[in-house]
Amino acid sequence: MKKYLSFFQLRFAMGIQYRAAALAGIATQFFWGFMEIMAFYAFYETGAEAFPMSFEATSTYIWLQQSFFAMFTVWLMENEIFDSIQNGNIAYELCRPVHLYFMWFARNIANRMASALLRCFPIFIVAAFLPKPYGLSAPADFMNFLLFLLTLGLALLVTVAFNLLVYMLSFFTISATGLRMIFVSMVEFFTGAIIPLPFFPEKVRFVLELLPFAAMQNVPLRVYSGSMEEGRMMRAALLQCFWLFVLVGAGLALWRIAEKHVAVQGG
Amino acid sequence: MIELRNLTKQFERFTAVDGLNLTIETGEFFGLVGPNGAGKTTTIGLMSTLLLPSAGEIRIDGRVLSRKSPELKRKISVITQEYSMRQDMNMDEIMEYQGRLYYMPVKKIRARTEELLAFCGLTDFRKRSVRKLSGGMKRKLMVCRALLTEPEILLLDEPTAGMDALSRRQMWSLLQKLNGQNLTILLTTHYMEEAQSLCGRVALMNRGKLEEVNTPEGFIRALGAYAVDEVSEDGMESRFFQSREEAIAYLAQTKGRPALRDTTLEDVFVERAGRHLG
Amino acid sequence: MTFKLRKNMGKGLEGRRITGAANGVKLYLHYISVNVRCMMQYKTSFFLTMLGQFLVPFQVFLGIFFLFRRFDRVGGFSYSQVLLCFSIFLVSFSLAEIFVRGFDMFSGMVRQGEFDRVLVRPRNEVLQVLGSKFELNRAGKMIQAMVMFVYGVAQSGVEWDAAKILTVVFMVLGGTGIFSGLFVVYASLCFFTLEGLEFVNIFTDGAREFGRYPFGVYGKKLLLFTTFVIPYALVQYYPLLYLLGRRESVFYMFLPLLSGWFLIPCGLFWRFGVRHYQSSGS
Repeated sequence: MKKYLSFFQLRFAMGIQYRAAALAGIATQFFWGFMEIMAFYAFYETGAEAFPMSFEATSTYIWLQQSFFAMFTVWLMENEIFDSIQNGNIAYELCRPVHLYFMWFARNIANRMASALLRCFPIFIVAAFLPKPYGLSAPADFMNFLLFLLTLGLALLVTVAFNLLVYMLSFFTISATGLRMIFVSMVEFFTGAIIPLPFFPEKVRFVLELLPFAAMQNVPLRVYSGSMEEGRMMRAALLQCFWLFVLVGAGLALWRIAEKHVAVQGG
Repeated sequence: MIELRNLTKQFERFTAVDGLNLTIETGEFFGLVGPNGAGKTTTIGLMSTLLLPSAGEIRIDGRVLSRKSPELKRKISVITQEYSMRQDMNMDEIMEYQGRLYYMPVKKIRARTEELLAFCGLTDFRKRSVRKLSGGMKRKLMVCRALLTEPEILLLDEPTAGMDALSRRQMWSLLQKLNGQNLTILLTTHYMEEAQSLCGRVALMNRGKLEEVNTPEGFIRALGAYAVDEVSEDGMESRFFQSREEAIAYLAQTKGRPALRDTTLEDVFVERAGRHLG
Repeated sequence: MTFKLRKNMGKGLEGRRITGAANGVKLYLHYISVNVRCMMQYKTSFFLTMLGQFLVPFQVFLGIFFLFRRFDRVGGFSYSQVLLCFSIFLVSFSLAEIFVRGFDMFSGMVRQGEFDRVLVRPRNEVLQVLGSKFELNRAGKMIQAMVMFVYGVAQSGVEWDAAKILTVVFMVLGGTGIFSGLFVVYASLCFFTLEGLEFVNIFTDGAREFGRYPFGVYGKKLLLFTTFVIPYALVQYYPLLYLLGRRESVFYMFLPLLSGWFLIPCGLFWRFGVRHYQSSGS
């Protein structure tokens, strides 16, 4: 266990160093959030009744989405890993006394947390001070906030588990990039990154909320503003746990096959 | 004729080339040798205008070399250490690409490509993409590309690095042929054997400064034309003697299994490097 | 095999030099053919990337589609009108991406010293940078745009005539110009620093993303910015009003061409950057 903690620490320290990139990232997320809210406001002006949640809740959803962008974004993966799988250098990694799946898992979490931590606070603070309907509102109550933190953690784990699955799948494809591109772009849509899931038509939304992608950001974002009753929140969190087990299980299973595959090939 | 006058290049706090003064005559085959970090690659970079000097100047046939002197730049062709070619093109395409950059009409490009590829022995491989060429072939292709524009001066940075022995000999023979036709050649190398067999004169650089310029024979004679190698528990030791008699006399009174041979430029280099460290 | 170096060593290249501009065009066309040939060597990767490119705006389209199941209008514009606006703007972006990608990816050229090699060669550096990349597979975005355009044309209730068609052409030209100018600005910034330049994406990818709605819906201040600072509104919003018949004056048709002024500061900044790079040494 200590080994994996140290991988985490190393990556985290590396990630924190990229200050200029972080500043650029903050500016970008802030701009994005601002524009999205203005666009929603344009819809609100003539279609307020059709809104699935209050405008404040919508703004809050968007600001949270933007501040944690680095954590939620599905495609934050290490290119070196894909490259080393493609060109066979991965064989050298196998010689080490570490379980690659968990090492990569720890690294991925560290990358995400480092990037997110650098960027989320400035956006939080500014968004909190914006005038009421456009800004970040406080959580519905303390329980909601705690649940938010819990589901946020689960969301991070589910996202990382999905990333690991993609890594494992790339062992079995010849060209990783093409497949990755297609895969990842559709997934972002299903997480609610393009439009928040509550805005989808009822039937579509029902299906989407059952998929693992909804567990990656939509659940914590909705829990925060308290727009779900307690029963639903519990179910959503349980669903997150379910998908976490499934994704990790599938990833580990694929790993066992891939490991043998690489050994036979000889790198 | 190439003159380097007080040539200096600084990177941030590191001086790669420090007040270099050197004259290379037209038609010479000149070598730049020295340990890693001596400034050889930087010097080549300055001469090809890939890098700009921090101080000092380079003169080609009396005129100052700068990025804005196209006629002077056309006289120089450079072959770098890294393979700087698009991987997906084949030989004909690489040559055409280069020719077009230098305003050559397509017919002329094709004609010269024929000649050059034949000269270098690459004709059979012309349709292969660069990605599928061996290191030696890539190097020869770079030579062909450099010669396409009919330069007077050829600069080479480690031209046979990583090549197998056969390719290396082929490259040497190619360069000697070119030099025989009055092409001025300047190369840097880590292979002392290369400097010794090809170069008329050799400049020894160290830490950006020019230590000494001499013919290979000059360097060798200064050290001693004959060497005796002795193997002991501490490893191999070499001693150098001015005359064969002295060497044989020494041989006679040593134990073990010593060997007598001609001193090489490599010995000169090792001795100097050893002195610096010691 | 005998081989002789020519007598006119180093001088034989002057020969017959055709006028600079015509020769430059020939070289550029050659660059394009080289790029396309190299790309087509890997057909599967090419088509996969095209598909990936198609999917990027496709998601945005899906977003619009689902939102308009819930809402009727945005800022006074209907679904088909939004698609019309978005598709034209997206075509401009893809054209800029295909042709000017060399500038968009310029940071790599500086970092790897490739730009030094560019300066060593006896050709115009803009030509060489333009020629370094010609990414036809970015056309995947254009396919998406075309589909939306067809729908938009059919459903948005525009009364098409010669002037309106010309307006669309100008919108595309103007938009491509603005995006290209921004890519050049990004490249020029690379001469000064290579860190933290992602913020420029706000003005390129960001504009493409939010340009899915006519810029007027985002409020007065943004409209002012996109009219006078980076003239997006001149190629996307005002001409759209003309297309939809909300403005009568033909003046609106020529507004996109007016946005060309933007290229001047972009070009000047590039020159400034190149000079700065050359004087500070490599």
